[in-house]
Amino acid sequence: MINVPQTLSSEIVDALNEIIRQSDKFRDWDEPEILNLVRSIYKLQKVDARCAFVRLGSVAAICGRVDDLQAYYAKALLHPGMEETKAEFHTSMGNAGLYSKAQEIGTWLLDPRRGFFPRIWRRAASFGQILEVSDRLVIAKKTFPELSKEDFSVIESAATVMRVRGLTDQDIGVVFDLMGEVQRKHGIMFAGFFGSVINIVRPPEDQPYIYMTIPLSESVEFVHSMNRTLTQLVVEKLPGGAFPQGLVTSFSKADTVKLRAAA
Amino acid sequence: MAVTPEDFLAQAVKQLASASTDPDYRTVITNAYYGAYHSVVKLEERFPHRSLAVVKNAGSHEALLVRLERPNPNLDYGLRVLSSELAGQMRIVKALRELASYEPDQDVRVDQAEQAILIAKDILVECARAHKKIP
Repeated sequence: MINVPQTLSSEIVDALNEIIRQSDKFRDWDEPEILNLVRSIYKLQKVDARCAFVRLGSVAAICGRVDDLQAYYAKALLHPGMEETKAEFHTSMGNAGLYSKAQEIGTWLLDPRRGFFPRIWRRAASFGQILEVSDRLVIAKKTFPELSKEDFSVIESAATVMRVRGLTDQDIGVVFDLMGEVQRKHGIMFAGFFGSVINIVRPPEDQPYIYMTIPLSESVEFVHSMNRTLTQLVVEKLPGGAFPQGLVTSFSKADTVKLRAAA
Repeated sequence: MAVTPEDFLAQAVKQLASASTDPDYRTVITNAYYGAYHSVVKLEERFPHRSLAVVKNAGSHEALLVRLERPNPNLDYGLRVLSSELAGQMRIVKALRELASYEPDQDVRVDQAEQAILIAKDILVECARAHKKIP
């Protein structure tokens, strides 16, 4: 009897992953492929409500339905298994471009005592949690010896620049939320195949700064139009109408070599 | 001016047509950036009310961007918004240019060169429109 929901659950996960692999465009909740998936999830709900709410949250995320996503998150949290729920919604919030919300969940998950650090640190850094990852590295490396094989040099360099410039993860989160807004306007999710790219720029006459990009498998023209919208939102919504000091962000076209590797 | 912003941009476009290596793309980005930069410099100098921002410990390019980000409150509303939006666009193309010029260990790709040209083209168009609004 236990195998039935497990099989159904894994089939749903496979179907969701396949949809994300096909395209990073947000999907329509009413299209047949999505409706079939939702019907399967309702079957799952009868045997595992938490898992069903998690999967409904994933579907809401890839459809860019942020209110539904947050509602399913609240429902899933009412069931036992909060740790896994948070880990799953960490990804879904990112898919939908709700980066600050993802950061909030990430802060909880990154505590090495919870056991998720090795699994989520890259994703957390992708969502702008550079200081949070950096600050927990010493304890995390003691807790998880396998982390000694990982390269954290970019995170540590970026964290140093952030401390010098007085920049916080939340500052990045606020700008990334605008990028999420742009993504939803243009129908492009954060598929997570590439993660965001962290560049540390050190111009000789000025202070160093962080240049973070979110790579997309779209044309340069499309990426450019998203960046236009981003700069308009920065002016309209950020304090001072500008990027925070020490940070610049933009969308970029995904590296085709990496695209082929991912495929 | 012996070389105009349009000349820099035209040179970048011309170079992109035959570019095939990392150093080529870096050169394209640099020329596109300078097209945008000089266009914005000319515009900012013509603003009837210049920014009051005092920028210390920064180069002239960074100082220009800070002035654009903090336009004079007496400046016409449309020009104030344009000034801030130009600053946002310039921040992105400046980051591309500084990666191209100062970070030799980073790969520079054709799409980044194309992106720099698109941004520079937009900036030149916006600056030309803005000049018409200034008496």
